[in-house]
Amino acid sequence: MTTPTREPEIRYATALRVTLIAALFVLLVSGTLAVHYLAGQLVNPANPVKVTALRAALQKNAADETLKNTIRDEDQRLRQAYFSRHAFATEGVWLLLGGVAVLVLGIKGACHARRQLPYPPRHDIDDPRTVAAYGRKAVLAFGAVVAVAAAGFIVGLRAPADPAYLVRAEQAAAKAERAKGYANAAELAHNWPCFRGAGDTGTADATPPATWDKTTIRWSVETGLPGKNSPIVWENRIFLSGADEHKREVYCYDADTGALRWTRSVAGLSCQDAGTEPLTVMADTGYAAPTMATDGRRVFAMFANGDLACYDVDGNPVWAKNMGRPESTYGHAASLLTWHNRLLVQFDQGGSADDGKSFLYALDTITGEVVWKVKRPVPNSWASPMLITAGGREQLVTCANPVVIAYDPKNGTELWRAECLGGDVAPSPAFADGHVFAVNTGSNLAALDPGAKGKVLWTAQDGLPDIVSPVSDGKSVLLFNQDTATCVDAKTGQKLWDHQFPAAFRTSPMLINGTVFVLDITGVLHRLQLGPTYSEAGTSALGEAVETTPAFVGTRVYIRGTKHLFCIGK
Amino acid sequence: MTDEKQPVSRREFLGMGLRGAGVLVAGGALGVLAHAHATTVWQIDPEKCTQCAGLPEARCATACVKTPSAVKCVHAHAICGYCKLCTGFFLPQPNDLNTGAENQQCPTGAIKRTYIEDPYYEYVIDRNLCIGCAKCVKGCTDFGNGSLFLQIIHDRDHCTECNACAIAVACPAQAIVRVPGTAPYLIKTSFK
Amino acid sequence: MRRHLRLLLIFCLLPLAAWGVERFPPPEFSTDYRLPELLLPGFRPEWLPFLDVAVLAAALALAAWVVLKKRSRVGVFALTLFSILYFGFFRRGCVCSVGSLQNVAYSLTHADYALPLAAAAFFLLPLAFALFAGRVFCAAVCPLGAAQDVVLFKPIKLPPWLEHVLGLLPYLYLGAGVLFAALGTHFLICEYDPFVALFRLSGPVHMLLFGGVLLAVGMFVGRPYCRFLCPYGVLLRWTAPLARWRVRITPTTCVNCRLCEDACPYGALHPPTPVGGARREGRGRLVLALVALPVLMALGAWGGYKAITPLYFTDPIAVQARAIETQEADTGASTASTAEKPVDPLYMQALKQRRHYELGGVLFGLWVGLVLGGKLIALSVRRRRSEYETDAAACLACARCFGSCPVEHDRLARQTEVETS
Repeated sequence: MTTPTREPEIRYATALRVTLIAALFVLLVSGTLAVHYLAGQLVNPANPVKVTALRAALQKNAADETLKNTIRDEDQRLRQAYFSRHAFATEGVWLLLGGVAVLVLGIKGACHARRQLPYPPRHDIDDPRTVAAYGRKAVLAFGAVVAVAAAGFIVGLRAPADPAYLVRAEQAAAKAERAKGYANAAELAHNWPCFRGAGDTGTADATPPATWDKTTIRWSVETGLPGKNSPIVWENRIFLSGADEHKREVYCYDADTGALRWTRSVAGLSCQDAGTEPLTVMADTGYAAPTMATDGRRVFAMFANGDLACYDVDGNPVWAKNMGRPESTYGHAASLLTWHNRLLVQFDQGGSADDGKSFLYALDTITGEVVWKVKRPVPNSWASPMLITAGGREQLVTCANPVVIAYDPKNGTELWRAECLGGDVAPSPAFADGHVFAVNTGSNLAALDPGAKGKVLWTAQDGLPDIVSPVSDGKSVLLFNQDTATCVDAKTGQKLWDHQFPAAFRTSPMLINGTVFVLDITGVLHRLQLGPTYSEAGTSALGEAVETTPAFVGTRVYIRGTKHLFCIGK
Repeated sequence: MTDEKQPVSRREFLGMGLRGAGVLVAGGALGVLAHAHATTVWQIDPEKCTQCAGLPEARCATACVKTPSAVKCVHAHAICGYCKLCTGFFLPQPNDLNTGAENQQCPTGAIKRTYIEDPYYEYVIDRNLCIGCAKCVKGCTDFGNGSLFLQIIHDRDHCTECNACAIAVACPAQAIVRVPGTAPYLIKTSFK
Repeated sequence: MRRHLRLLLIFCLLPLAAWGVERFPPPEFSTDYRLPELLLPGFRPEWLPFLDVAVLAAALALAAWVVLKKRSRVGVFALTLFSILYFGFFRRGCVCSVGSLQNVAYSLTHADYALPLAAAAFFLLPLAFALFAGRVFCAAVCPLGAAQDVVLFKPIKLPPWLEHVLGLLPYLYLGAGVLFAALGTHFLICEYDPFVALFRLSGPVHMLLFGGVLLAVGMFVGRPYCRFLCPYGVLLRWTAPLARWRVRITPTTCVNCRLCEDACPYGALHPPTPVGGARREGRGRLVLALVALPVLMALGAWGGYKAITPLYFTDPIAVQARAIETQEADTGASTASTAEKPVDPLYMQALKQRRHYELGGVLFGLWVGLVLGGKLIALSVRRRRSEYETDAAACLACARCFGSCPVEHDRLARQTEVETS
């Protein structure tokens, strides 16, 4: 008979026995599994050493049937061993788990049976100050261990300095980083990023030589395919494009030597609107009339067939696309312009505004994707857009028949429009002293206030040009029509004077530090002072016909003649 | 609690504020971070898999926490050429074009070869035997259409859906990627 | 001869490969053979994560109720067994709260990774509960803690200095776990989870051994993983002291009988401090510790900076980039032409990763310095206790200590009286 007092002892004994048996069982199973595992390491069907050797032997003796049978037997043995071992391990683990569960219950039971009432500890409570003091020392010692371990890791795994691939990647990343951005306004002003200087306004800062002749030409170099586009300049690179009926090319020249740095051919861009008819343009416009533009990282070139190509300044292609063949009476001519990371394309086409084919596009300079586009209520035109700051904001001013429209370059929102032009608009507008001057033959010269929603201040009809863009210093406006220059008062539109030159003009005049520089088609450069009366400061002859506007950068002038590219100045 | 009527001490007030903020942060974070649909599983991108070229054994067979691995060979019959001399089935320079062990790539005989019509043979993988060693995959990818490829099999018997796939860490080509749980396989549809 | 034929075949076929055309066009069968359908088992049902989250929330609520309201050790033990079975063996350990902190870190640095609901909930719910009820998650819900809790039989008291030192490991482990998860290279905490291999009944041998050893140690040292390694425990340590309802040994007032002094196997029970000692005592040491903190952090940052390169070379991307570089060199790319060659995209990826290591290495070093310095400061601050107090940060809410309190026995006796009468 068991008395109640002895009951826990019996339970304890039972639990202890269960525990012991379970422990033995667990040991046995885990031991077997361990041995099994170690032996199983030799059975690896994925790397059958013996079979591989036998197979090699068979290669030498291909007809050996017994060898084949040996391979088959060995293979089968290996596979059976592998899968039976796997099955055994699966079952063994469950057995082990069961054993552990019983073991845990056994020990729990034993502990429970021998449970004692809590008893106050005999030792004193440790003084927390001593505990903390030991703790601090231990933590410091641990810190030292961590430091030694870290030092061991650093020294032990001593790796070579940055491997070559990382250096290469770093260079590529730096290049990509440079390519991502765009030049700021100051950088743009120091270069010649588009037609008629930064912003395409007709005025720029530069110190070109006062007088020069054929002998003071720094260098001249023959150009490639013909083009009526003007050179643009970025640092020590000059960019031009050229095209004929079949080929389109972009050229990059060294500004110091005139050496051709690179040339790229634009081809193979599909055009949906091309049809089967060959593209015809007027000879005076040519196949490459739009002047290129650069944002300081990439250059952009557009051609009469609607091809638009982007290269980085080193000539690596970035993107290219066809904008659709422009339906243009004389051939597409509007020059390109960049604003921040946008390429602005004035794409006026169609015989009538009702065709609804004219758009202003803003393309992402890096991807070439259209960021925004706005429909323009105009037929084809040949004037280039102009970027100005007026009324406290940047404005993109466009001229066409019959309206001058200003847009927000950021999103294409129309800011104002003024109806004042007519006919086939080719002259680009001018900007001086806060006023926009838009002009075309057969209609008007109009002074507009871009800060007051494009209010028309006055109109005049004297000496209206058909091609050449006007220039103004804010006091007077100078117009060139064929061989005649007409100067009008910028405040009133009153004609001040006119003057006939020996040759006609096709290039746009530039106002450089208060002096007007303009080339006639024979290549004679005229320097004029604007004022109430005609005043010529001097002429210099290039000796080659010129139809494009020169680029004035620093002390140099870059002129594209019909056959050569010239650099004048130091 | 008995002390409810006592005025709130500074410590308690601070605690309440912190708890309130904690719950707000936790709730907000749960709302922002969690995507109920975003359950992902690990899968082998067959286009990235190099069959552990240059290594003695495919990591897919050895690195999985499961033995045999949860990675199995999968056969896209749609792009299979049904070759008589299947380079996934036969070793290079086979002794003969029969199913003898001396000719077979597969170390566990997991590929079943069936005659269809001259000269075409069908190859079917027995997933119960496959150990994911990639020998057949290598043969088929190097010389054939690449219709044999490895996939992690997502059911309770195979992948344990580890939060961090052990093979993904070991993969020399980093070919193991997270894919949506609703589309757990990356099946080859064309030869690349 | 055959080999030559095969080589010839390959060269003929290579151009085809470039065009993405099958080398052997799929045949058109003249018999009525049909292509076998590719049948692959589907992923587990979509509602399963919701079930997991619901079970987790219910288990947490139940644990809080059992520990704080019922004060029942048996209840806690029953829930422990449930957690081992459900979160352990049925759910096979994934995803767990400990590992989920890496998912959170990874999702914060990888915009393309959407954090699954289950991972977010497993990360946040135990912390949210800790704000109100302390570490009830550790008590009976975490399968890792549960596995250790059931094997604890004969707890021995570790010397306090050792406990202080080992108590630093979770902080360092947390730092390393977050670092590597944020870098996207390893889920360190999952890779070295000692018990998940046991729950899966398979895994790398060294991890199975590690788990077995921890369990064996855990028979005598209470929950070694939870106290001296668990990185999630660090987060719970920070939140639990804010808890509205805390574990108190005594249900009403402490009589300072010392009966409970050795009741806590996890070192979370602090005796009252001796009265006396000057207020100013140890102030100089505290100042010294406060000065040491920035010094240690600076040292740590310097060490972390030095470790950047060796750390980077262990990264899988670095290993792969190296392999590709060797391959490039082997294929005979002359050094002159390397400048012109396009840079392998993997190199760019490696460069990015390298930059991340630069930041991560220094941050990790700062963290190590902060942990050491912070501990020194904590050890230099004197705390005063007038009765036996549970350390809310360290208390795992296992309910073992309740039975040692005579006041609790008194309460239980009275409760039984009320129920029987």
